[in-house]
Amino acid sequence: MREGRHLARPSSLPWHRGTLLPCTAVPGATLSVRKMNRAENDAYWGSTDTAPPTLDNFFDEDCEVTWTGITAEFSKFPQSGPSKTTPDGNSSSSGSIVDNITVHSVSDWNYVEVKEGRSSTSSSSSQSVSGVGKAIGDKLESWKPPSVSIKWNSSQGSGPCVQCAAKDTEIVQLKKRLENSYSRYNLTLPPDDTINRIILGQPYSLESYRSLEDKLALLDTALSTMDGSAILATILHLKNTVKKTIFTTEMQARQQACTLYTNYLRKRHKYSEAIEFLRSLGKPEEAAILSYELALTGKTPEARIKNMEKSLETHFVFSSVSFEAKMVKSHMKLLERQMAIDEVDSKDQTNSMLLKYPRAANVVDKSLLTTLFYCCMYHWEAGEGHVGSPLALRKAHDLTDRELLWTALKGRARVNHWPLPSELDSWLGSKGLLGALGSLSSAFGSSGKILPKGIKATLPIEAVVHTLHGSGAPSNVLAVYIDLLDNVESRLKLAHNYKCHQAVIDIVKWKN
Amino acid sequence: MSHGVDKMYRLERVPPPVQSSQRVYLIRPSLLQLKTLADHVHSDHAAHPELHVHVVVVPRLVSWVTGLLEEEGLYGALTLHEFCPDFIPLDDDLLSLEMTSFFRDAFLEGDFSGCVDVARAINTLQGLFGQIPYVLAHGRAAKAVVNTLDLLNNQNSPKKTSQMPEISHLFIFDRDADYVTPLLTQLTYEGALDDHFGINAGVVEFPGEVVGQDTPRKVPLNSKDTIYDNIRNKHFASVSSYLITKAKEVNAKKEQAQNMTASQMKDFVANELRTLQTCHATLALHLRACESITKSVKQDFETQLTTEHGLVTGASNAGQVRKFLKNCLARMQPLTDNLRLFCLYSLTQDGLSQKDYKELASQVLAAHGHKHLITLNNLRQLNLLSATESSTSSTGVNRDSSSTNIQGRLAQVTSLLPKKGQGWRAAAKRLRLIPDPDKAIDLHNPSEPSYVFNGAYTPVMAKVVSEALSVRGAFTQTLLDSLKVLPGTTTSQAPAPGSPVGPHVALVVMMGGITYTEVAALRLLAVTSGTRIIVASTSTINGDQLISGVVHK
Repeated sequence: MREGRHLARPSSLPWHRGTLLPCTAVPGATLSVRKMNRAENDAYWGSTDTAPPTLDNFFDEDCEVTWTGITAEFSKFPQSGPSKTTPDGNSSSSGSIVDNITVHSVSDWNYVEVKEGRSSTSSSSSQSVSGVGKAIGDKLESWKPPSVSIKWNSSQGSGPCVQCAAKDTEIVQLKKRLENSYSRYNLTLPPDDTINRIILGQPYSLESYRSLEDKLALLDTALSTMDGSAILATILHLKNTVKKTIFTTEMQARQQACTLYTNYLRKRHKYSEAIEFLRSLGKPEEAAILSYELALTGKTPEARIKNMEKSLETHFVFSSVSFEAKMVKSHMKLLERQMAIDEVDSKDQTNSMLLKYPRAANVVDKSLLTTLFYCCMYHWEAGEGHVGSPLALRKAHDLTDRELLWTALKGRARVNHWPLPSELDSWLGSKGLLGALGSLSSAFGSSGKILPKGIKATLPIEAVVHTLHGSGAPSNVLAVYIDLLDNVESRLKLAHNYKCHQAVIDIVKWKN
Repeated sequence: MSHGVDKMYRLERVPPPVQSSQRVYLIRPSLLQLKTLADHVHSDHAAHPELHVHVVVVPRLVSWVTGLLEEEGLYGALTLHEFCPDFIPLDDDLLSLEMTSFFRDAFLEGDFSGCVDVARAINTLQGLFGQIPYVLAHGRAAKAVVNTLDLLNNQNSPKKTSQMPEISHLFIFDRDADYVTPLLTQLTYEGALDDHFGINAGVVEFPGEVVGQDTPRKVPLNSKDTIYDNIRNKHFASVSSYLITKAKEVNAKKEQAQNMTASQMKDFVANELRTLQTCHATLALHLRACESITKSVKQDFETQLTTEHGLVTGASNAGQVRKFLKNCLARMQPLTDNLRLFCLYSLTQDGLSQKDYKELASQVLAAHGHKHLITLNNLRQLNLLSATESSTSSTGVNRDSSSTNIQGRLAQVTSLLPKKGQGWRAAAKRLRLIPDPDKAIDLHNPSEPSYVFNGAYTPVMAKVVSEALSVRGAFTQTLLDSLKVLPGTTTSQAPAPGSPVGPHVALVVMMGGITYTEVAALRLLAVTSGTRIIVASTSTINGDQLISGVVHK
């Protein structure tokens, strides 16, 4: 088989030694076979990675390429059993993905019948192979494939011909099928014909497309129809029959095919192959993302961290993915911290919060903000040196004040603690938070009227009050937050809404 | 079980116990499902060599199914069948193929094989109702459907094709021609039901509080229920008042019964009472559903709507939108809600600056987990998200040095400039999707399809179909030209002059899922244009389903 692929320029190949057997019996056939010294062959192919994965095929053995030759080949099948096995005993596992018909499998014939029943209109190929069909017709009388004989025998067993018409149809169908199966090795149908057969669910074969030109024509025809089934079949045919560099070059020119093929590899969990393919196409960004996806499939957090490290080193090296690289690093850092926190907390018998509010779940693999929420719940008081300290987390990851404040409010509320704005402010430290949550309100007491403009720039106070109320905050706490609002009317409205009577009184008093 | 089936199982990793000599797998042509199936067969084979396995692939036996089975050594050991269900009628005017993964398969993963199944289903309709003379298709998937349809037509007998057409127009659109519609909050009653409870294949599962019992109950939603038929397409704001009026009518009728003579009463009980009672039950159900939706909408629902509509019309201030979005992220609102708004923001701004994108993206990851780096990448592949100042100088190791020369810098600068005639805003302007804000819109008795979004936006499909149907005969060049602003190419077919075109009936097909909002807009269009419109799609969809379909699991 592999010899056959290079027929286009046989004389230029150093290992060319075999004889070319031109195909004489069938008009239009493109197949010929040479023989070559196996040792030479192995030496050549073994040394390179360009060898297509499956090259074993029917014609590695000596054979005459004539109709009788083919028949001789077929006659070997009964011994080889129902699975697809090549005459020399090597089963081709990944190479023959595109084959749809096999002559020797009984159940296969059942399938073929189902298909025939549905698409009852005449298949286009039967016209184009009619010349061959005539020749085969005579042969058919003297030779039947095993499955056909089984069928005939079993139906004859049921007695005299009662349903002759049905049987005639069956015979016609089987004949047609047989003709098609002959033609698979000997005749190249026009590409659109084959592609239409794939789309319409009729039996087809890609074996006969041997020249690169034919294969590409087939692929391009498939691409023009956009049917994923046909495109993938032709891609895999190309991939299995040409060397990698050719495959990559040709795919590069066909972006739609690349997307489909990459996703096919992904779904087959052939990540490394997909990543390598994307890189060879010159798409390092997509390769990087895919390598990250692969890294995440690691079973343990340790394995995932290790994978990410590797993927950062090999794939996230381009400036175009610098942002993504930063995120992956942050993910690793977070996972490490989560594991450390879990290590400490799972053994901790002294932390009263852990005893009072038993942990619902392990913090490992949670998002950054969920981790912060967890830390605010259990390690609110912890110093920055503690691994679970919210402030340490803030320092390690660039958290915005908005993220910090919202999460702290919710996390503390979960343990029935509602920090006042002043408390949050000192927690965050004065730096940069002057405008955050009423840092001045403490200085001016609850009547803090001179508020910096930045308050509302960070959190929408109405939403904060709503959230606090939802979490069961007492009304005196709500009053302090309501007081942060500039607008007196909305302050009054909120105070009414959330039944903060003292706040209402204060506002009315202040108004007058 | 009927048809001699002992037991049905959901396909899971662990194979079900072997209880009979035959087993049938009913699967979609998905590689992951197939692998599971193959593992089942392998693990059962040793203990039960006699087990005969049938595989029914829905809707089509594609090349990788046989390929994978062959690799697994199972080709020939299993009996393969295919079953194409064609369109499933969810209602008199709504057909679905229930191919819920089509959007992801086609637009994200580049597998348009589902188009063949859509074409087959349309071909079946053409077999029944004749060849459709006018065809307008836009987008990649739509083109694939038209191509396959031509192929199938050639296979049909000429008798079928010469049949008098009963459908005059066929419109096929890709979902990516209008991402804005599914991203916006749905405001029709049916849309709101879908957003809140989820409508699956025309059936909603109401929680116990809505049906007034302890357990949830499934309720089919279609035009057979006349009360539902009257409210489904109404703007949510006008539904409860309608229901209350109706409920009062029913009560009034019941009260009339108090003063009836014996014979009148007999007649009333025999004929009317039953209908009144079911009527009453339905009204109560929908009133409770309305109540439940109103209660569960977010506290800042109004801000959300103002933000969404402001983004579309261009009225809102980008800074305020960012702030709103950042607050949503910091509060860890549901992932799909946050991503919907993020995408809408990006789309309506014709892409975000790198700075904005990175800032918001890192906050998405902080709130929902770093693994969503993959989700964000998916959204970018789909063009739902985009960051301008394209980082296309891909192998960017040498990027900094190359940009020192003037040409490189020039190229960088020009790539920053907005491309003329591209992007969503240009398309919206060209297709006039944003109605005149000064023109008042009646939400209760709508006359324009834009009522579905409070008059802020007209779904692309409703707009194009309405333009196309307003002209008798072939599609105008103006219309075809205006479609050029949408991603993808347009294909149109018109019958030979003089050939019969049939009555004014349109089949509108959406590739990648249709929202109930669009269905409502098209139903209004059917009334205003005097056309019967049948809507078909690969499945019904809402914003959450659209987004969660491409979220990394």
